[in-house]
Amino acid sequence: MMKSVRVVVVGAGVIGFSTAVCISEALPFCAVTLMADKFSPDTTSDGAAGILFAAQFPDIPLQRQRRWFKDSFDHLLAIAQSQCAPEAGVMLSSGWQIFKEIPAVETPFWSEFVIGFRPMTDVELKRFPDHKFGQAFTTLKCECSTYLLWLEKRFRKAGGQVEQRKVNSLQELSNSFDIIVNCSGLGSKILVGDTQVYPVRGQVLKVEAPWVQHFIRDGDGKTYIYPGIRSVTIGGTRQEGDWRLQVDGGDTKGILERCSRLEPSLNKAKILSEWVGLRPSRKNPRVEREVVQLQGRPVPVVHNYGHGGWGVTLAWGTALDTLGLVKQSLHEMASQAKL
Amino acid sequence: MRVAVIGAGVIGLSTAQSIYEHYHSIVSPLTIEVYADKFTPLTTSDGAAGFWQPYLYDKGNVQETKWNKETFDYLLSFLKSPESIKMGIFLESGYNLCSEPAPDPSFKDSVLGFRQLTERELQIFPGYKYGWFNTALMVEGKTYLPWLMEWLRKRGVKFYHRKIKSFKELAETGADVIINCSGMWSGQLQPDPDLKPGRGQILKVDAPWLKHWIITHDFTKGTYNSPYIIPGSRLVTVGGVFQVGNWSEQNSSVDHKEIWEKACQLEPSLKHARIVDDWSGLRPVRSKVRLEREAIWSGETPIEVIHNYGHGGFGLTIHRGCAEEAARLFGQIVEQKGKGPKARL
Repeated sequence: MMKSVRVVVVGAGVIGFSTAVCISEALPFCAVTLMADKFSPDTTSDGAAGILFAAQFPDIPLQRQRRWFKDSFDHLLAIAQSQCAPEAGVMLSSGWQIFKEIPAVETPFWSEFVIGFRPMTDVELKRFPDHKFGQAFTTLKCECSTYLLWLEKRFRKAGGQVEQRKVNSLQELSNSFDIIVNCSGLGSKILVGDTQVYPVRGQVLKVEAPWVQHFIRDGDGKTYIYPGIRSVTIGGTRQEGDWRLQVDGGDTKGILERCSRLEPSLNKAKILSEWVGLRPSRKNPRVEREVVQLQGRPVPVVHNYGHGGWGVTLAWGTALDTLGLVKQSLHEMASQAKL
Repeated sequence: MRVAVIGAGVIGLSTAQSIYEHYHSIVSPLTIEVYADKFTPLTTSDGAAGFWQPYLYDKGNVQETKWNKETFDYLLSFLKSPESIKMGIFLESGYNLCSEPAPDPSFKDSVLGFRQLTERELQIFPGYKYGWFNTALMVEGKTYLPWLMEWLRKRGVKFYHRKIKSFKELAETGADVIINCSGMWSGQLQPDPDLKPGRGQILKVDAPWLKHWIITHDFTKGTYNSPYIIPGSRLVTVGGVFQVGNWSEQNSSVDHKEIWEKACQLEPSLKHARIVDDWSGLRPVRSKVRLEREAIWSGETPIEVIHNYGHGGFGLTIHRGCAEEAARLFGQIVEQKGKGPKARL
């Protein structure tokens, strides 16, 4: 089949690859190229624990946020139940989110989309003497260092092309592509001049503790234990505006202390590695389209970036939204062509 | 006093522990010896998955439900210490699945967060219409037994690698009390038609993405004759069969094939998992646990025996409750022999 529309997706993290797969699988007449400077295992997504639950963004209609979360969860749940689960790096994970003070919202909007959500019993809370309230549920974990490779296979199977290249401006893309899809995360600060994008530094440790079967997360988001397929990710930090990518020894010490308080057996765990990532944060994720004048031509640009620490959680849902926006752009291009 | 324990599985070792804990400062001297022909990692307890869960219903054996709960609470108390890892104890949640609605199980108040399964969860397991979710404990025999042996060794308990052929044999060497924890082979010491093998076979699989146990229940086939998948700290245990009367400890290819196929139907992601090992063991099945004193006459003086065997497929689940009860029975003997605190007056 002749591919008539040239689409470029900028960014090879979980947002970029999820978006590229959505577009290439749904629109076979599009020639989709994924272009990025960094690929797995060097993306921000690679270090993320990849546990699914969401925060609530202030300015996006709740209905849309619910759809983002539900679509992502259902997509990954289907993978977790299938033979592909280990190859895709997706697994079910049960555990507890605990709060030192009773939270304002005891039942968040995403509680109906995870599995078996309920408040913790008093007996369960006894294990956490510093905490007064907790939620128990089953969610999913999606390990990007495996998942991204699996998505890439899917992308190539659908005819997608992958190119390693640092994109410095949208201009340089406008000659070769009809539609630009921007999934450049923190890079959007420079690529499209978005001053609202800022890093939130996160440090994690990967430890060997195969007896840990449950996630434990403090509601403040700064202390968490996420058992994965071959290691347990423990963390973390939330340092706004901090661009440091080097490991901080003080943070390591703090993480070990805080996590061992919640799970004493971690005292005996061997540290396998340390990692730092910069969450591509923004007041709200930017999932919208615009038309930009590039080299004298109006070029549709669809943005899908600024997911902060919720990239894995929202990847598929926002990718589907982005696909919808790409379709709208195609529709517009087609009607303009007829004039 | 000299106490001779027959059997070094979880029952023998934990009973020795309870007796030591309660009586080492009361009876002086207190010599405890453990005799067995099999030690860890070759006991029945070592092969078991190490999952704390009684059979669904106790059929009126409320005493056993009490001992199960006592064991759960005891193991749970270790979780606040890093020592729990050296003991092989950790929490694990999962699913009990039934093909039709069933009454709540006997252990619903012992475990953590017990609840019915939601519609969504049942959709994950096609073919099952009902079930429960809860958080329970794992206590892995291959770690727990060495920990128990070390605990006992440090306190002067001696171990003898020897098959005991009769209670008389031990009584003649001067043992004051014999604790019979010989599990499946108790019948060789004293015939017991109620004690039968409940043969089980399991596969050990490398599937570290699985973090929940999944136990299915088929009321037409009986306990553990339907698939179960129990992730451990290193490998996943896959079963199950429960063949009453089958004494074979050899792995069967027929059982292997059926266990594997059914497990893959239950959990499709297993398809690509690597099978590492097979193991067969004999659950010491009995209508109820034999936990009682018996005075066996041989000549003029009776041999004091405390029986603690017949724990079927729930030995690890019930061990502490039974060990404490056995220690209590031992205490009765101590009183009767005048060796207790009163004797010091």
